[in-house]
Parts: sequence; C-alpha cells; structure tokens
Amino acid sequence: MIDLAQFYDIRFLMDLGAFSILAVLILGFSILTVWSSNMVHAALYLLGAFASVAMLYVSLNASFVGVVQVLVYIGAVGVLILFAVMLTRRTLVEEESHG
Amino acid sequence: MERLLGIEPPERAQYIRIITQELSRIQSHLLGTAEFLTLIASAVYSPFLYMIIDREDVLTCIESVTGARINHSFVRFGGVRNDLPDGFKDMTLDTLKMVREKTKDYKELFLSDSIYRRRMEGIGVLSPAEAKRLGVSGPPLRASDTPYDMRREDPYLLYKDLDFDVITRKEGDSKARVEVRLDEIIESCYIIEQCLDQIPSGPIMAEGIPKKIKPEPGEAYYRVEDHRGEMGFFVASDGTDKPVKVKARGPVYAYFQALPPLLEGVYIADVVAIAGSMDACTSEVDR
Amino acid sequence: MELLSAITEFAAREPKIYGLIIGLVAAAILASVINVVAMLLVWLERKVMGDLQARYGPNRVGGRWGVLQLGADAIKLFTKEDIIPRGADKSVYVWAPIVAVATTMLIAGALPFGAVIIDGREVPLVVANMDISALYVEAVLSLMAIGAFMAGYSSNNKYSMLGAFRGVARMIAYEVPMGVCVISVAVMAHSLNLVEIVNAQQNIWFAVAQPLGFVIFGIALITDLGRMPFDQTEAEEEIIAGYNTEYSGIRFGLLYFQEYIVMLLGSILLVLLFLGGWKGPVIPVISFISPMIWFFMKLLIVLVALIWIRVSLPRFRIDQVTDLGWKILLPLSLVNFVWAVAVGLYFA
Repeated sequence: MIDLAQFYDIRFLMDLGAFSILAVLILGFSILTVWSSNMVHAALYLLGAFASVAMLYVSLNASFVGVVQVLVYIGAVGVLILFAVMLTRRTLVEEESHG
Repeated sequence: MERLLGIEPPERAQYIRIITQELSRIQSHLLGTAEFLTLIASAVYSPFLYMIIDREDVLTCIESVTGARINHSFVRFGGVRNDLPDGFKDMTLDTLKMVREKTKDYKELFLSDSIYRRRMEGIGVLSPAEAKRLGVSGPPLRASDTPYDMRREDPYLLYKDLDFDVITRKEGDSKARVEVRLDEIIESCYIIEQCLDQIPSGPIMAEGIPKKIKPEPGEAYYRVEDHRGEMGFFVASDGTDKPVKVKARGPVYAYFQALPPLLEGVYIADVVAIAGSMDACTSEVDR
Repeated sequence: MELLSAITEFAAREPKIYGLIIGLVAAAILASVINVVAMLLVWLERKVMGDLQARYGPNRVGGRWGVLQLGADAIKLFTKEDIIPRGADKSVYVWAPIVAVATTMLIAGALPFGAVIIDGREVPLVVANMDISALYVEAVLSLMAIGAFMAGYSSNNKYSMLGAFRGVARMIAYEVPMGVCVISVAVMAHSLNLVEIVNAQQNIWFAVAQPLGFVIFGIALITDLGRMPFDQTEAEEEIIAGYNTEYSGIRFGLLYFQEYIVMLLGSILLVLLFLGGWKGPVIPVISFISPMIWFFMKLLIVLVALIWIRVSLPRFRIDQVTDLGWKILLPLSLVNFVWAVAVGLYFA
C-alpha cells in the first residue's frame, strides 16, 4: 500500500516530479516520433526521446549509463539516422525547395 | 589611335608608359593573388592582408606619377600627361626591392604549406590546346605551357629593347596559375629596374598634336599585354573628330568561357580554387 | 556568519534540496560568467587578429581598445529584423539556435574552471564534480553537430544544407579519434574525473607524456570547434555561410556566439586534459589564487594559439578533412592508446 503521508514529504515529491516530467517527455517524444510525417522531424524527436532516457538514467543514479546513452545513441546512432534521412530522396520529406 | 594618326611618342614617354604599366601589373597581380587567397582560405587569412599592404606601396608609386591610384587615365595621344616626379627612382627601387623579397616569401610559403598544395595541385588542369581553343590568354595560358605574351609576340612600346623572360609553367593547374602571377611580379620588378636605368631625358609629348583630332579615314587595331592577358583595341575613323567604332577586347571574357569545361564534375570547394586562380574580374567581362 | 551557519545546518538536514538550490544558483552564475568571458573572447580574437595582420581591430567603442565593441554588436543584432525565410521548417528553424547554445552550455557544468587554495588544500571550482566528467564532456561535445544540423536543414537553402552535411560528416569522422584520446588520458590518470585527471598531472603534463595524443586531440578539437583550417561548415567563399546563411538578428547572434562559447570551453578542456590544468608552482604572496593564475595563463596561450592558427592556414577541402580523420588520426590515436596503456602499466 502507498503510504499517503509520504506525499507530504518534499523530497519524495521532488523525485516524483522529476520522474513524471521525464516520463511525459519520453512518452511525448516517442509518440511524436511515430506520428510525425516529416522524416527529419521524426529523427529529431527520436533524439529528444534518447536525451530524455539519458536524463532518466542520471536521475536513477546511473550516470555512467546516462552518459553512454548520450554518447552512443545521440552522438552516434542519432546522427547516423539523421544522415541517412538526409540521404533519402527529397520527395519523401514532402517539401519543396526554394533554395 | 596613334597608329591611325601616325604619331610616334618620344622615348621618355614610352618608358614612362612601360613603368606605369608594369607597376600596375604588379599591383593587379598582388591583388589578384590576395583575393584568390581569401577564396581558398578565408577573409582573415593573413597573407591576403600582407599583400594588400605591399600593394599600397606600389600604388603610392603609381600615384606619385599619375595622380591617381588605380584608374589613372594618364596616357595622352602622343605621350603621357606627367613626367616622373623627383625622387621617383629611389622610392620605386625601394618598393620593388621590398615587393621582390615579399613575393619570394609568399612563393616559399605556398610551397611549404601542405594544405595549400593539397588544395591546388592538379586542380582545374587546363591543357594548352584547350586553352588556345577557348581564347584564354595571359597568366592562365602561360601556366598551361604556352609562352604567349604580347610583349614578346608583337612588341609594342619599347619592350623589344628590354630583357625579360616569359614565365611559363608546365602543369596548367590552379597552383601553376598563381605561381605564374607571382613570378611575373618579380619579372616586372626587373623590367622596371631596367627602364629606370635606361630612361633618357627628353620631352614627354610628341610635337604637333592638334587640339581637335581628325584622323584619316581608316581602321587600327592594337594589342597590348594587359595584367590579365591580351587586350585589343580597335578604332575605326571616318575622318571626323568622332570615331565610328571603338571596341576594346578584354581578356576576361575568355576566362569565363574556360570555366564551364573546367568546373564540370568538381567539388564545390574546388570551384573557388579554380575560378579564383583565373583572377577573373567580373566587371571587365562586358567591355 | 549566522546566515552561513544556518545554510550549513540546512545543508546537513536536507542535502537533496540544498543540492538542487546550490546547483541552480551555480548554473546561473556559470552561465553568466561564461557569456561574459566568451564576449571578451570575441574581442580578444579581433584584437589579436588585428595585431597579427598589421591592422588595428576594434578601436572606437569603449575607449582606445574597443572593449565594448561586442556590446555594440549585440545591441545591433538584438534590434535587427528577425527573418524566417519562406519555405523554412519554422519550428526546427526557431529551435536550432537554442539547441546549439543549450548543448554547448551543458559542457560547462562538468568543467572545473581552475581552483583556489583554502587552508593549504586545493578546492576545484566545478559545478558538477562527476566521476565520469571527461566522458560526459566528450559525449556532449558530439551533440553540437545537432544544433548546426537543425539550422542547416530547416533553412531550406542548398548552401545551408551543404553546411549541415559537412558538419555531420566531419563530426562523425573526428569524434572517434577524440574519444580515443580522452580514453588514453583516462587510462594514464586512472580516472575519468577531470579533477583527478588534473591531479594526476602534478609531476608531468599529459602533453609531455603522450605528445601524439595531444596533437591528435588538438586537431580534433579545432575540427569540433569548426575553426580554420576546418571551418568547412561555414566556408563563406564556398557555401556562403553554411548552416547560418539564412539566419539574421539575434538568432544569428546566438549561433555566432555559440561558436565562441564552445571555443572557450574546448580550450579549457585541452588545458585540463593535457596541459596540467591549474597545476604550477605556488606563487608566494597571492598563493590563494595562484592556481587560477596558472590556469588562465595556460588558457590564454591556447586561445591565442587557436586564433593564430586561424589566420595562418588555408582551408581544407571537406573530403580531405574526412580522409585525415579516418585514415590518419584514427590509427594514430589507437597507437597513442596502446602507448598510454603501456606507459601506464609500466609506471603503475
């Protein structure tokens, strides 16, 4: 059972708040990644989701995993995805270039 | 025009013309190389500014004779407007010494800079045959192993009395074009020094030039070696004081003609290395 | 004093909340200090560049030395019209400068900015003294390409796009050798903590212990900073201004400023990893801040060296840059890694 009294403890509330914000961020970014019709936007949302997961790791006192998440998923995988998306045909992005 | 009128300017005037022409060749080559450097490096690349500083001294020499720094409309029918001022010889010799040493430094710098060489060697190779076909002249043509210089081909003024080499390079790439320009600066210094030694005293204008010029009907075509290549002037007269047709043929139009075949299929970064090494002045294209 | 004891008591009672508050305050102070120093850095660069090129540099605004020139520039940028080009990807376009600056500022939290001596003990000035701060900095450095990428992609301009492409390709090529160099240093120092790494250089700088690593890290750092001869992302003669072609007003100001912030932080990282950080002989009279003096002297030398390199080298072509990264620097950095392990084992 949840001890209701601990809800009045500010430390618990801080942890809960941080987790809730991160959870909302992760879920939001993930949903946007799937829903977005623009491939580059989707890739950028995916990066956002990765970054939120990294923050979640850090908040769980697993800072090494968090940093590796940033290094591997955002720095390498994410950028490679962006690169791959850019190399796809422009019509897939459904945009016209004026440039 | 003088050919049409049948006037021969006095020797001193011819020497002064050569001196100013070579001085402006030096300043043009310095500026051309400097601008080219901003293209392959960036606007904060120091040698670019050093060249501009050197050019200022050369411009001061030109100014002391002509009163203008770059566009000196200084040549008159049958002579030149001003004589050389006092102390011109010393000032010019000092400047030339400085320019020659600096130019040698620049050559050494470019030869020792591996980034520069990676960017320039074998880039934009213009073969001699192709260059001739496209009508390219001046330093880019000479960089393509073709010793074609109006000062040698069709000696005008007193160039036939002067000792100078026509600078050529075998490679025909961007690096060669820049090197030709730098070597020509040194060669021009040498020419000016000879002129300053040999220059006779005498009048600077030919006698008997009428106030209103009415040449005989006819045509005249005259070619000179401009800073950027062969420059032709065509004048046709019908006997009145107004010419029927005046046409100047600048060298730069041909440079731009040469660009499309050279630029096909190269990296974007090489575009600036090739186009820049031509030293093409866009405003000169439409003469 | 009463306030101080009250704070200490509060810290003991509620360490988490105290940490949060202190963290926020420190972050605010850090952000403002970094911005001011980066502004001074812009001024320094213009001035040093001017001296190197036999001209004056800024000399009107703010007295003879033109110290306030950048303030005037900032005001100008603030008041300029903010243009969003037609056909631009608006949300990405707006977010790009923010992401660029934010990812850069993330680095600052983990970097020690020198140290002071209190009671004969060195106290490093660092906001977050993490165990793995070197790895963290390395990871966050790799994020910087994303801001530039977003800017280049969203501008809907061929040249911006090319700049973004070049930035990403370059980042991928140089992140690996740079990371290997950081790991080599960590192996020698037996720690990934930047403070520990500096402490390990008490007797010998890592620039001396592994010169190869120092050179590789320096080159990779210049590449990451996007400075000459590696500024292909914004080579103005080739692709106008690269990823920030379409930006104007304060958004451009942010992108421009970000480059200087990252130059500052990158130089600090180089000083910490290879040049012994704040280590140096104690200066007698002002022993309290003598580590700070050493630290800033080293930092200044690195910054001036960066400016010097900028004005004296032509730019590489982008394929030559990636070639250099993959074919030369990466194998060499592995050699350096082996060297670091061998030497580390020998002395351990």
